[in-house]
This record gives sequence, C-alpha cells and structure tokens, in this order.
Amino acid sequence: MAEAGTGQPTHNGSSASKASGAGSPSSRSNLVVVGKAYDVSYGIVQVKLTLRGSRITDITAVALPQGGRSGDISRFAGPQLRREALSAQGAHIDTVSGASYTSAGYAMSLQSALDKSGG
Amino acid sequence: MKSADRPGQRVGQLATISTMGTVVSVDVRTPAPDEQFGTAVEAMTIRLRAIDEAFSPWLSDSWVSRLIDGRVSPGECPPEVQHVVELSIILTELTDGYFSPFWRRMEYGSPGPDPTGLVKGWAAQQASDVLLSQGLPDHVVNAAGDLVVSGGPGRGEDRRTWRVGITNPLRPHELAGVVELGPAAPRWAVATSGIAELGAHVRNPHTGAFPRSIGSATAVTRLNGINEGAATADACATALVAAGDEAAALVEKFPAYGVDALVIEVDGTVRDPSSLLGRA
Repeated sequence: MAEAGTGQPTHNGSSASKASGAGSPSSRSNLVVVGKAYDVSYGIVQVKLTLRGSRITDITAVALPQGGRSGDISRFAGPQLRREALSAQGAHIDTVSGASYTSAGYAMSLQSALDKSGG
Repeated sequence: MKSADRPGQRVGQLATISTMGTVVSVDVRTPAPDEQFGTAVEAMTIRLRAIDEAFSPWLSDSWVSRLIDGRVSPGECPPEVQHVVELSIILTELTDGYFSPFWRRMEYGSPGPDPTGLVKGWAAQQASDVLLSQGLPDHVVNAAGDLVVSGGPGRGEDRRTWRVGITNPLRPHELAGVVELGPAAPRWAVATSGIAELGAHVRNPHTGAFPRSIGSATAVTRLNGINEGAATADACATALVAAGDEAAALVEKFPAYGVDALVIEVDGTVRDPSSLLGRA
C-alpha cells in the first residue's frame, strides 16, 4: 500500500485556540487533524479527526473511493467506523459490534491522525 | 473544565493499534498507572503484529498464505498455526459446513486451508489474554467489531454489566439494540458478520453462492477458562451470513454448543432465539 501524501495537522482556531484552554486538558478548542492519504487499490483514503482535549468529537473522510463497489464501501465504511469511534465514547454503551469493513487504508489514515493528535 | 465529571465521559484508558488490516481498539477499565497501561499495550501490539505476520492472507510469505497455495502442509507450520487450522476444521462441523477453511477450493482451486474467517476473533482473545497477564482484568478489546469483554466496565455504582451496541445493518448510523453481558462469565466474546459494508462477500461453501438475505449475524460466547470462544463466535457469525435462507434453522442449533446468536435479515426480520438483543 502506497502512502499517497502527508496530511498536516491543523488547528481550526490556529495556535491561539489551543492556548485558550490555559493548559487545561479539557480545552474547549477543537483540534483538527488530517491523517495521511493512503492509495488503496480502489482509490485514495484519507480521514480527518476532530478532538476536544483527548476526546474524539468527529471523524470524517476527506477522501474515499467513489463508484461501483468502492462507492458502497465509502457509503458504509465511513459512517460505520465513524459511528463506532464516536458512540463508544457515549454514556450508554461500552463498545460496538458490527460488520466490519477492514480497510487498511482507512485504518492507517485514522491511526496517523491519532498519532499526530498525540492522543 | 469539569469534563472529567460529566456523565458520558469515559474513564477507561484507550489505545488503538493498527494491525491486521484494521484498527484494534483497547479500552482498559482497571485503574492503572499510565506506565502499566503503556507496557500492556506495547505487549499487546507485539502479540497482534506477530499474529498478523503468521496469519495474514495478504502477506505472501505468511504461514497462512503458504498453507493456502499448498507451499506448506499444516504439519510443517508452527504449533499455533496448526492449532488455529484445527480449530477452523472443528468449527466447520459445528456450523454444518457453512464456515469452512476450504471455501477457496471452489473458486480458486487452492488446495490448502484458510482459517482467516476466525482469526480476527481469535486474535482479540489473544490480546485480552495479554491484558490479563499484565494485571488489567477489566477491559474491552475490539478488533473492528469482533470483541472480547473482560471483568466489568466499572464506573457508576461499580457497574458489572457490559453494554455492547449492535450496529443496525440496514441503517449503519444506528444501533439495532444492545447486548448486555454480566458477571455470569469472567469474559465474553461477541462477533458480528454481515454484508452491510463489504457487500455480499461471504460465500456459501456448499453452493459457492453469495447469500444476500442476512444483513448481519451476531454470535456471543462465554470465555470460561481455556476455550476458544472468540474464534467460535467469529466462525459462527460468518457461518450464519453464509447460510442465507438456512440461517434461521442454524441459529436455533447453536445454543446446544454454548453459542447464542441472532440474525438480522435484510427485510428487517430479527431472529433472536436466545433473546440477546435489548433496547438501545
């Protein structure tokens, strides 16, 4: 699997937003981290992670393959993995079991975003 | 500011490990110093990566890749690989052949066994074993939906019952319900297979067809002492998807083997003979 490019971590409020938390780990500012883009056999996969402190508040796909079967993967895998990561942080369930799309590209981009976030 | 006290804020320590073509997430609820948690995650990562090297069908020189195309026989493999292959053959019988390590023979003529269908569940249990050995008995290991819960989740009056959300295969943004797993067993395994994300990718080993009638199937086993409950759950969930129209009969047979399962058909019918699924 080729790494197609290197995403850059960005703060949505620039460096000032991080300072607004005054050193508190529960800083109110969001940290937005874009994972590396990975070239999988059916297209490019890249995800964007939003964190508040160490808590993941959103995961979206910046790039996912389109068309045919790949289109289906995009439609289902993106929301599913997003759901799993987000809902597992909720009060009412501890974890999620669902049919998985084991995408090395998605996983690696997500992981690179997590690594960059320092979380 | 007080986010740590807010309801819904998790108290467990989390880590994700990128391996086996997916992300394995770990959520440890046993209170432990960062250093102990870090050491445990490191040990688990080493274990999972070693499993991937031996078992990945996508690495051409893994033991399993060589088994599949007949470059080695099971007897030439390391004991652990032999064990998993034997397990996959035992589970073929338990599932009336709807889980089979020989499904490749039909399409590709590959002579050797491919246990891949249960390796993710098996690996989750191996990872949980590592956490137990590191003194962290309360945890979840979730290998992209195939998971092991151990001990209790803690928090809120020292809660002892895990709540596992089951994704709705018809509406992936939602949960179909929740399976509650309490202290009746020290550990539990939950595995779900389905067609929602990869499409109809599970083949019926008997006919070669790709059944489309099962949205998802979830299997639950108790892990008591030395058994291979997580691999069993993984194989049974896969078998139910492969069984298609026969899944309704198969799901009724599993409890006799210590496996409770439910299926959600693509028309919305839920078959849940063990009443696993509660409201979300």
